[in-house]
Amino acid sequence: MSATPHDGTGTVLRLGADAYTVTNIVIQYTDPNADAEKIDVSHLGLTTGASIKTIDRPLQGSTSDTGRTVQFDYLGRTIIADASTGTCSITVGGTALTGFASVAYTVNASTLTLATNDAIRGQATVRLARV
Amino acid sequence: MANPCTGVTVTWGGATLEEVIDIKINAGGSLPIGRDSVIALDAGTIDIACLHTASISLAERGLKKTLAFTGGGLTCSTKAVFQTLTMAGKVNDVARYNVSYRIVME
Repeated sequence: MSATPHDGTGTVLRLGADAYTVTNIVIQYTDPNADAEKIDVSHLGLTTGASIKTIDRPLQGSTSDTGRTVQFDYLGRTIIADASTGTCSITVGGTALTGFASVAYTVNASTLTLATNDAIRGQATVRLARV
Repeated sequence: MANPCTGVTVTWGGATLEEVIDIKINAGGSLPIGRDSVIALDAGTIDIACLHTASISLAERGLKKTLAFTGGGLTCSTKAVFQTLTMAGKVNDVARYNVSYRIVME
């Protein structure tokens, strides 16, 4: 039986030279300048059919907030150091995921869970540079 | 049929309150003070929130003028006394103004 084109098997996530045995990856892209980040200044005086009025927020987001993160679960004994940096890559079946050949990252958060009758599991969230 | 709340104009004493985003009319207030009277101590309140300055000075507090609403299923008019003005500022947001009127029955 052939694999579906969405099949994630054979996916490898690397932080620098370290490859992780990942069980789940969530990639999130958020545009810091999206309309959802604007102030809705629509009012009752607008007529039916008019466009919703928005204005930019007066303050800009932090330049370090790229709006792009990867959160992944892995099996292993190593806890990933917070604030560590390097380059991140994700390959599926040996082919780099689009935009993930080698992206600079900074670790936002990291946890390692050791529980009875279970494998040692880790979870990390890394912030990606906007390239 | 429901009335889309759009195209609403609000004036108090002829001065337009601009960029109004919220209107609450609570008419009626307390019961009449006498069996054969319609006079009530409290005729109700009207609260209006807007993004633009409410076009009101605190010097007008206590003044009675005609508060008129048109459009958006809110067409009505009443005499109202300007009672309170609240201005609120928040980081990374626009200033917001809330003005309260006391309905006057004549």
